Amino acid sequence: MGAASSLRPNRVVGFIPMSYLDPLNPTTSDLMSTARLFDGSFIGAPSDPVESEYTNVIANGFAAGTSKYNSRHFEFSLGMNFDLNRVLKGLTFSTMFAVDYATAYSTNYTDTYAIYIPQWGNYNGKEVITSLVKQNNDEHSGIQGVGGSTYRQTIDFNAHFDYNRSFNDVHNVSAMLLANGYQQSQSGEYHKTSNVNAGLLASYNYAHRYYAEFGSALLHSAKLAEGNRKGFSYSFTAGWNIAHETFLEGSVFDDLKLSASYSLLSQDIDVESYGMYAPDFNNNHDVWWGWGVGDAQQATTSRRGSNKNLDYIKRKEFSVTLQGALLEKSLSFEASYFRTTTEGLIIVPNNLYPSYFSTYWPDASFVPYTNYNDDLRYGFEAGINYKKQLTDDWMVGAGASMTWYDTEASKRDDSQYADAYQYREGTELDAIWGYECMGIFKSDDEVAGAPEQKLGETPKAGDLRYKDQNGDGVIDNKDQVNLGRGGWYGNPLTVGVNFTLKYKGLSLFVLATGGFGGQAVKNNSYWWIHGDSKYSVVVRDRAIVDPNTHTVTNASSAAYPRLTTGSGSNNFVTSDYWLYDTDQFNLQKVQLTYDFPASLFEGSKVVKGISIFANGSNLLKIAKEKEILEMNVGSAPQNRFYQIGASVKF
Amino acid sequence: MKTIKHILSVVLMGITLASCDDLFEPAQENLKDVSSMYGDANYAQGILGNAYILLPYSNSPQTDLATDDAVSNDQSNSYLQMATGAWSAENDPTSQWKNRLNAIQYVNIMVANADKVAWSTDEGLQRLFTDLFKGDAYGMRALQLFYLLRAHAGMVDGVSEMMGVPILREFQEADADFNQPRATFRACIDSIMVDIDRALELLPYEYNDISDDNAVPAKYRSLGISAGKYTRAFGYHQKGKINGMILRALRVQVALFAASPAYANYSGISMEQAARYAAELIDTKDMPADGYKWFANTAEIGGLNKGYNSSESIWQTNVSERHDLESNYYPPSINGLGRCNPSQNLVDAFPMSNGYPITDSRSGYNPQNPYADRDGRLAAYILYDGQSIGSAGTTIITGTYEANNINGLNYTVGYSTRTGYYMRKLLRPDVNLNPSNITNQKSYDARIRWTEMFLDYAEAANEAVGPEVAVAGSKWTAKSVIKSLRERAGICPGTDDPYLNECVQSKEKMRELIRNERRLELCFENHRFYDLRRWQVDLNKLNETVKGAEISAADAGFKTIDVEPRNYKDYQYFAPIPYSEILKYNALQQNKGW
Repeated sequence: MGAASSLRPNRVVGFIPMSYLDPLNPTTSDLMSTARLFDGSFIGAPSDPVESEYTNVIANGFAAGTSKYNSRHFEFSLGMNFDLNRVLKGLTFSTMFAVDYATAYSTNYTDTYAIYIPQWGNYNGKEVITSLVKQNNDEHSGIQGVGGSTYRQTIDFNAHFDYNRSFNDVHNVSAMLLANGYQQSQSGEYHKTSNVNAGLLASYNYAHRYYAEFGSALLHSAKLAEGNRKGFSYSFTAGWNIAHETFLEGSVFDDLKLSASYSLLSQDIDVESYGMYAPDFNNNHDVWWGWGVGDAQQATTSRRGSNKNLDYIKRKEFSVTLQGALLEKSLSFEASYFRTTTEGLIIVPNNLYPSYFSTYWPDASFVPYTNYNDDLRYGFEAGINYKKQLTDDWMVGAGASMTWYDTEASKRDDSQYADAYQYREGTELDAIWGYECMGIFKSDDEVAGAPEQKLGETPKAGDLRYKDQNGDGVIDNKDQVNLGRGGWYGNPLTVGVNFTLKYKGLSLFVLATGGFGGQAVKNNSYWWIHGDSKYSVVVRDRAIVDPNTHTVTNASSAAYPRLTTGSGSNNFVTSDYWLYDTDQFNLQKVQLTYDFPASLFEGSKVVKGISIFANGSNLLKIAKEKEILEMNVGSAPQNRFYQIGASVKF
Repeated sequence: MKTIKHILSVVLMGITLASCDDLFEPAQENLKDVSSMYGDANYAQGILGNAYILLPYSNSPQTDLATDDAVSNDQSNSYLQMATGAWSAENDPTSQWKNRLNAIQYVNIMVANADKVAWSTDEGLQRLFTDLFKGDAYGMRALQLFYLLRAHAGMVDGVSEMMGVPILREFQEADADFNQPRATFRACIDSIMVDIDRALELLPYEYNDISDDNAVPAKYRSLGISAGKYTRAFGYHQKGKINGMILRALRVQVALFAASPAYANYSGISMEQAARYAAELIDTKDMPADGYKWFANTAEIGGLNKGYNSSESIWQTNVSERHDLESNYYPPSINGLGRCNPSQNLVDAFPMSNGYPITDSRSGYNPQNPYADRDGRLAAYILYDGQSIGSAGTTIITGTYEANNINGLNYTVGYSTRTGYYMRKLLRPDVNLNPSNITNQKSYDARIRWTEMFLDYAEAANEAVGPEVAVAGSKWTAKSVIKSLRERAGICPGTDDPYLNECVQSKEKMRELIRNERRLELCFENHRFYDLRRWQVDLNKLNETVKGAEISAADAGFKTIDVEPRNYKDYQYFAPIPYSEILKYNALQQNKGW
């Protein structure tokens, strides 16, 4: 997979037809008499192959053996429902128990195959193979290999009491009491993924005008220390259906609802493993010592201190929503604000402890895991929709929505950073950190006069120059700054619009979306090219360095650093040189449908209805960096999608 | 009734689930904590192993590269950067804070718990092993604290006492109060001395097997402990661990340091005490022959058995076959990196073989033939123009008079010498680094050498009682120590040393001679950086520009060049407390100026 992004096509010779052989050369035909042929062709190679080219991805598919994948799945589930009306009116009990077992393995025969290295010549204007050298042998392995053996077992149990009842037609009460247990064991993992909790959900509304809902859960997690294993989550929601109030009767609003909710969720998903609260002070850490006569033995070294107070990660969510409809429900809108904080994410806070709590060699530490980092996510969403039947024949609809979204690392341990511009606290969670590029070095003299860049390769004319943020005369990771937002958790601003138009049976639907404010880095093999990588078109604009004067001759037009046979480590690091905006507006879908009038099928016994349609997806992208955004490297390409069809009802 | 039965069956299913590991209780894991040491002697001994892994010794020049003795040819070397102006509390390559205190953390576990560990089911052995590990722990704590103190002691604003470092006597858990103030310098010295005394009470002078029950120390004999049991705890197989001899040597180092000009007013330790401690050791010895070239005494090294010291060592590592030092310090033409370039300043400090310094008109020194008739240690320690080294005896030209010579002065940045010299000391002369045929040679790292003890004695005795008087009935005087040191290096062997005789006329002149001998004998072994500071030499001596030799023709054309400045400020006699710790803990006071 993805081989096309890195394999140079001139180095892959899949098959060579026999007809290319020089018919007058008896040695090649001798060799061919035992060769394995595929439809009259043999497996070839470049004329000067390196050892890794004795196989290639195309021939692998034909000659490298077979693999058979076996997967078995077993599911068992049992559920029961009980009506307990006799005990209490409105009470029911349900329970479910499920076991799910999956196992998979693959069997394979791994074959080796011979390749033939051709030497090419020219006879009478025709390219022919003058000689062949055979490498490797066609060997079929008689031994079946078995690999990739995995299993997974999931056990799930839950039971709940439900209660639903209305009193006097205005007091509507419902409640649920639930217990749940879940466990998944997987091959290769000692600890099982487990979850057990008990929950209570209660809701009440008065005449569908005032709503209140309360949910809570008692959790248990064996990942935490004894005494700390119980966790509690709750949520509270209140709603007010203002349109049902008497003072709004007869107003423009057909519907108006205000609701707010707050929840505190305790979670142990981010407690990555069991026993993180316990110290790890052991003599099996591969830290060796000895004395004159005492041969090497393992020292008893601490890898982690103890923190019995390690706790659930708390997620606090707050949101307010206003929903409404007016103009006989033809115009509806919704707006909401949300704010979520995740508190107490677990880190190893080396900087909160004395420096002597850890050593580099031996790799040891007395520092415990601690609930420390806080994340904040907040934003605003709004949407508006209009839909109107203009006449009996015409209907029009339109909608627009937007989401504005921001994040902040609201608490971080930043004491490792000397300069405030490197602090993670207060910056976005999706910040891209890198160097500020000042362009391409125009000459070796410019390199000599610039701060020393310690990013691996010593820079030369044609390499990228970075800004010395802290003025210490050296470019190193202390000079990385916040370059922009990656939009990994959603673009800072997303918008969507849709439009519908109907005339009799003909309807047109258009959907478009856009995302703005995010950036990305050109850091894949299409852009970062060095040594014997596969070269893409971008290197055509490279800086060209005069070998005598050591200066760049096309300084004003160069749009790529100089080429290098080295690692390019000075250039191929995240910097704003490689940054591009991902701002885009996409025409996601256009569909035209025609429903044949129902009157046509009256009396028809076979066909009850026909509609025909034509649609297209991903039709148009409007973006400054459209070319990059529409390019996939190392995976299947993006495509536009067109479809025409008919549906017939019988 | 049927319903209830169903519910019961479901509950039963739930119970089968509840019995699973990881649901209510975590599955068993091999996570141990300190309490594991009580029942597991191996585990317990391994705790002390950390202090040994973190021993403060280096087998190659580090701080020397920040003195007038040498420079590095690696521009990114942290000592080079420090010496030329980058030394700060945030960037302090001499800092011992992390590793020394980390080691003390582990040692404190052993000090507090050695009594509770089941070392043996035999009562006698239990006592012996408890003493062994406790003594080891006290000794290690003293050692680690001394190196911490040396690296971080200093004056702070508003306090007339000199301040030392925090003295940690108990293992700090993650919830301990880390905001601990620094103890006074004197309290630190007292604490080190108390730990040395405790360890000396518990540990033997050396670890040797005994077979005679009467040779068992009286305190154990009275408990009925046999020679066999004693041997199991304190016999040959403990060799290489800290012992009474090493502890006494450490005590000499601590006392001389504390009685030195920079610290004497604050330590309560006198030069006479230091001299007495040293005499206790060196009175058991003659001056080790060839001790000055211990690294190249190939016959002796080849015959050293596991655990045994060479005649020059008080504490050393085992001999091993290797080439790592040579890879770093051999000249580049024979596949070394040429990392340490000795200075002209150091070369000039070696006297002539007649004992006179080269600046003396009687010395016969010829500046255009500078390496002739010099002290034997010059050729042993420093690879100068025209000398040979390596398994093939390659001649090394450091002058600029040969074309395409990577060994030549400043020929290739990062490989060639910057001073016209390469280091020869510490290296085996017969390693082959050719990548196609690397041959290792046997060598060891010296941690404490007898020569240092002799020099310590000479320095302390001269200060306490003068050049020609023995301290506390010792068989040595400062003069006799220096005489035999110089003799073994080929200076006036068997005859009078006229320059020495001149120096012993005054304590001051003798002091200069002793300090110079110390500089030569202990060069590249990470002593001089701290020696210069404890002597409180003038700031312009501390900042003496490092010089080199440019040799433009064979056996001629010698020219002294400036190689690297030294840029120390007046407060940099004392090193800083790490900046990160000052930020976190307001009880910690920073040294003046930092």
